[in-house]
Amino acid sequence: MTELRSPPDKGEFEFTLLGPGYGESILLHVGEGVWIIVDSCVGEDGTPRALQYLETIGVDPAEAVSLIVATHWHDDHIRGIANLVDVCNRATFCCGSVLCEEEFLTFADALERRHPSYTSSGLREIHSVISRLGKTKLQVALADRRLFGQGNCEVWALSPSDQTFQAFLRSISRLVINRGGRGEMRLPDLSPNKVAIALWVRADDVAVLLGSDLEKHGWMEVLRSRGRPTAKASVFKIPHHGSESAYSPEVWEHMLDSDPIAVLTPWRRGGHTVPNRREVGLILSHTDKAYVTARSSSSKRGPAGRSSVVTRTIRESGVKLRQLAMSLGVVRLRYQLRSRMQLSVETFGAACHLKDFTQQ
Amino acid sequence: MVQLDQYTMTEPPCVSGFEEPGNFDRNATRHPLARNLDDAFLLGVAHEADARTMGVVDIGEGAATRPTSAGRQQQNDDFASVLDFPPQEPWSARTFHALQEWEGYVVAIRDEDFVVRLIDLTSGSTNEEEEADIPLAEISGQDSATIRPGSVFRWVIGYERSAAGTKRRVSEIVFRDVPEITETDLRDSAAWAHEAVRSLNL
Repeated sequence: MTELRSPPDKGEFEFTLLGPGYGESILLHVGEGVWIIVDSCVGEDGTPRALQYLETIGVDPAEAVSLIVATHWHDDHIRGIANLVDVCNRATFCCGSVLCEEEFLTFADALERRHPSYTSSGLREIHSVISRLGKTKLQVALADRRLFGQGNCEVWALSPSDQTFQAFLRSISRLVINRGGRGEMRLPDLSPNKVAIALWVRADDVAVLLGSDLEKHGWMEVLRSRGRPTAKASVFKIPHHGSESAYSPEVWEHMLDSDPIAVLTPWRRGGHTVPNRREVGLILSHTDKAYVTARSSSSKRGPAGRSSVVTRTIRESGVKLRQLAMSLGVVRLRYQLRSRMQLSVETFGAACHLKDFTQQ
Repeated sequence: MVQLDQYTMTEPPCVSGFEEPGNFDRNATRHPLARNLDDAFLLGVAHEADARTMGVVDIGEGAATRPTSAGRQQQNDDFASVLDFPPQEPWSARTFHALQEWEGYVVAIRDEDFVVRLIDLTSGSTNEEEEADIPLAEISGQDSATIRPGSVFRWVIGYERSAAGTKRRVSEIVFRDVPEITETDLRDSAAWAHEAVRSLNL
């Protein structure tokens, strides 16, 4: 076990999953000081967790980060990504093709101009990135496209397919036409999960599969594809926080080594936590080596100093209030490239083995 | 429909305490009818012309256009010429002291309640760190009928002190209207999008 602040060697692969309870961000060191960041989440001060982590281990993000990928625009995956792009000014920025289509950008811009709210939206973040890309290199992702290659590292997009992409564009056009009226919305009625970018990353002799929030239908398309890399991955970032809506036994069978290392960030909504017990069981039926960035019970404490009058008023009005954010957890895997040794697993903060996820 | 964010404060007469959001105090001597007109106006701003609740006025970061004092005086004089008003009474302070404010949005609507995510404005948070199930009974019938996932609102809990000195706790949820996206908006946005895509050199 090393300290969190120790950086990887040049010849060492690293996979780090940051999960502050709401959102996730993945950092990959693919050797020779080259880093890739997939998705973004922020700390309480709004700083991207990925930047905080790199600072902690003494890595200069402006020099070291070569690729930033925004897999989709759900705000638990994209918060702070505009800041990341600003700081990592040598990195290529990669996002879904749909985000660079005029129809989508028209929609995002119209919402941005008309949206007086403190609440964030992934669309706003995307709008912010596109507005200031400037000289940043841009790479758009579609299924079976090689996004990045450097030395012995390559990154491939496995989704979305052309067909899904076209269907999504049509749905945006309909939304633009049908919008307007009272109480209009913070986010559009379209699920970015359909066009989420699942990634396959190889660094020398280790491959990882990053599931983003891709759901079942998307995985069926990935499995049918003949253009994707076929080497099996030994690390799996479980899609959609372990939700059954993204579970595909065929992915475990055909795209992953036997007994791979699986990692995920949990999620809360409507008083429920994902993954639930059944979903935990499904994952553990495929591997014993499964880790999660927080226990289901690891809620952050509520705001200090809230008046007892407020608490009483909430209670008397029948409102059930609960903390959404869990405590920060980090799962870190390292592997000396070409060593044929097992990946080491470290957990920090609230992170734990998935078996312990539901324990108090 | 009055939209809070579209208005500019041209004059803050009769309303003090702006430096302390959520806490305002009127000391000027006003005619009762004029006071009611002001109430209706302020409520109209804060509550989207739905003056179903008296006393909670969200003056937060937005500001409102109000009738000028000269215009109001003319208005009062006009009324006075046709109505026999009782003698003017001093307008005692009617205050609202906000203890807690959130901004939130709806994520799901169920039979008896709706699920929301909240940003704690009082603590200065910028993230949704709380979630709540709010009974539909807490909001008006009109709001119940029109909210949908994504609807944005402000929730304020505080003390209201009436003109008569009565103090009561208030919990108020005010939904915001986001203006319709017009053809002009879409044209402007399309022009921006076209230029953005061109500059991306795809």
